[in-house]
Amino acid sequence: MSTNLKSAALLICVALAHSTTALAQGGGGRGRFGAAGASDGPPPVQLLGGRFKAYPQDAADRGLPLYNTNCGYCHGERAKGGKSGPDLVTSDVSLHDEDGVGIGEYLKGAKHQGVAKLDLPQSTVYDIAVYIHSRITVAALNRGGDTHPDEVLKAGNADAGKAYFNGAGGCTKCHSVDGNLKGVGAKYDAVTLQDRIVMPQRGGGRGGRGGFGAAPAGPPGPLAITATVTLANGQTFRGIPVRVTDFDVTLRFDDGSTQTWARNNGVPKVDLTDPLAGHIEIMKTLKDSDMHNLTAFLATLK
Amino acid sequence: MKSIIKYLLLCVPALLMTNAAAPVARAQAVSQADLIHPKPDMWPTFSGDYSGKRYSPLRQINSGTVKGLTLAWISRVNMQSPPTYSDGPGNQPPNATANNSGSPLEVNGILYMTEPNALFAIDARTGREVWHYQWKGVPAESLGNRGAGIYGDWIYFETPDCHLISLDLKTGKQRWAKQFADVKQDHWCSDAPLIIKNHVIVGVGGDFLDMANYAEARDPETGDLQWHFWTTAHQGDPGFNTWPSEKAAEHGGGGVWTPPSYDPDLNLLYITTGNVEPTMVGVSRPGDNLYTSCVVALNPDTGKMAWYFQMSPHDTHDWDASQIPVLADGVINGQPRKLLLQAYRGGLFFVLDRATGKDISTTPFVENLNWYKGIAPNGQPIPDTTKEPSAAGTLTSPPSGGATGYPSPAFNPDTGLFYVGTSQQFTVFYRTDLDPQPEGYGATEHGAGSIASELRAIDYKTGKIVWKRALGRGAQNLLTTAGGLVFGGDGYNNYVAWDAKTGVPLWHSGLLGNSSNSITYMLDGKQYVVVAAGEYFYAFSLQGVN
Repeated sequence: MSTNLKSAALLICVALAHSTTALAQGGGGRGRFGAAGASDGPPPVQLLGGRFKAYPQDAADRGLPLYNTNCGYCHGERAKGGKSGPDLVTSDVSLHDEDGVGIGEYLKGAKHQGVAKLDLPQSTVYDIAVYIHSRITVAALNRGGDTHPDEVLKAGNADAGKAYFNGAGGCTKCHSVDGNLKGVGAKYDAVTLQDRIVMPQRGGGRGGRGGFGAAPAGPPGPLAITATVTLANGQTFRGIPVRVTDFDVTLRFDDGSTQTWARNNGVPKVDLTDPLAGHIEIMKTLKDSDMHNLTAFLATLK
Repeated sequence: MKSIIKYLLLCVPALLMTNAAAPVARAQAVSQADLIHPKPDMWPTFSGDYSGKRYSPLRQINSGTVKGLTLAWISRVNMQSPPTYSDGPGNQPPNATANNSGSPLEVNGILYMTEPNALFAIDARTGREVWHYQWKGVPAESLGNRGAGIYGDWIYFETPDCHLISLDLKTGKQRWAKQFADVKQDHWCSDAPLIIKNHVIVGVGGDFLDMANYAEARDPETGDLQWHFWTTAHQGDPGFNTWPSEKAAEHGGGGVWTPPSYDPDLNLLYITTGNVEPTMVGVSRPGDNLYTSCVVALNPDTGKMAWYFQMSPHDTHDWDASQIPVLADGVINGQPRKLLLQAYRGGLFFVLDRATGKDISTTPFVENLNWYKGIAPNGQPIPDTTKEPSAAGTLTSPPSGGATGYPSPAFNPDTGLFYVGTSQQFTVFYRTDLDPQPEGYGATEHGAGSIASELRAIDYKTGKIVWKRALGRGAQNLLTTAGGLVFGGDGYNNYVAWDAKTGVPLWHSGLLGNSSNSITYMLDGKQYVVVAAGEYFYAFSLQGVN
């Protein structure tokens, strides 16, 4: 038995032991990376995304060049399929493989031998299999991925952004390049700059109606949403809205205290003031080109 | 005193009606007739009947009496309690806590509610657990479960690892378990089975690894396969030419994970399909990509397709068409029509002729949509390709979460209004996978500011918004009744009864979480409204009704 097969057998045993432990503990949940096992005993096998077996990264790293040398010609770059070989990321052989055993058997079988004779040691098959498993987990679990700030910058024209800033965008009502935007291009990458145009950070308190969440004690920041509650007798209270519904309203005051009033038929009246309302309003007409240009311009403010 | 007399007077017709009903026999088997026209003491399908309307003819609780609604019982679904029965090939633990995201059923005085890998039977009069079944599955995505299906003396539900389980309705003892999808292909199953005659309709979902999904009919007695319908057009199917290759079609997604509807007169089953895959980047799959993001009408006896209608050709925003298809009989331009209504995730309200699949009208039900250029003569939106996710970022409304989601809308035939929870928000979609053969989602989104979240009432004849009510996120999962009410959550943990005609809130109760689907039924002359919020179930009934 090769070292890798021994490792595979050990991993299977560990997986079974861990599963029993996890059931007894009743642990689990969505997208977990395997429940923590007891502090003594063998370390638990990790499940990526709660369902894919985690393999050692060093094996995947070894597997990439081995894949490219032995498999890539037919199965394509990143195992996505090539001219003469199927996609291995979504192939049943790969998906049902564990520790390279199934892939190894398939390689020795008549079907694969009939089109490509490969006689690889099992340790090599294991590393290639781990690389393929790493591709499967990336494809299935990487729902976001990294953005590309350089592509954001390339899409915009700084001069056009400057014209928009000083003109149609109306940005100078609240912003200046020598004031609150000074050096902003050095502080943030292009994606963050662009995100701040459409979703500025308030520094306490969140947008929307109701469900505002806890705000820090102290006076509201200049960008925080504030609310004025007007009682039936005309008395008014101003604070940060913690919660505004048809049935109750809760404000937080500068000293950190809160007060709740029951509401009925819109009484007491609640008026919200959002200093960032202009940013929300501008989204309704903002063109992608203006957004990219403005971002490119802000990136020059170093 | 005046209000008490008024309350009693309002109750009288309803009490007379219920007292006149024959006593309910113990443990009646559920028949096909019950699924078409449920008796007052039952809620035997996800939406109450086959129509998807989520409408109850009960009226003891009505716009006049609802102020007297009070808590009858509260029940915690204890995922850690020892199951009465358990079975399965694996050791996958249940989720640590319940988080109901489906709909309970109620038959013979017992409520049935599902969680991933578990089904609970609860006394509908007291909230006490009667039995509890646990499936010991293999690892699979266990995000949620929509609920169960009931027929005869049996209850059916799907497990995350794609087994269809049949249990004895009275005891929870397993009759059989049949695997209907390969979990190794990263399928996962969460739909509520719908039983039509001798067919159990199941759906297969999962949009993580690029795979094709499907719906199937299974034999209610054995679980054996009766027919299989791919939700992406395969070689030889109409619409196959909307894919660039066989490979793209056979890895194109289209998950079936929300309950279908059924018209017994037309004998048509209406399934909805999920988003295409790869999800947010379409460069490797030019074409409309049928039948993803569609309503598809099937013959439930054969699985043969009668028609399809695609809400979002060549989707690139994760906008499935998995919203409940609501079957209503209405009048359009003076003519009686059999309609299918859907408030689609992309923000459009579709009115279709459910016999033919032809579009009658398509109207936006929220403002600020910017992803389509117009409506084609056939009623489909014409997507604006410049609004696809890009590496530089594309400002889009709505976000991937949509203008509405999978939680149930409701339709009230008395008011002619379609009720739906909505939200308006912009987002910036960034393409992240720049490979010409992208995989998985291939993009991400960075949310922009929220504009509004509202409960809206739509006139199906015109598509116009008759009333709207500003609420919090998650203000969905609706139920409407002949009592002139709409029930649902307000997004702030309140469970609310609104006037169905005006949207004025008439009653509310604070819960320990945002509510999931609620149901209503009549037992012992008393109408109950039952709602789940997180791991708790709450039952409400009128004070003074015994």
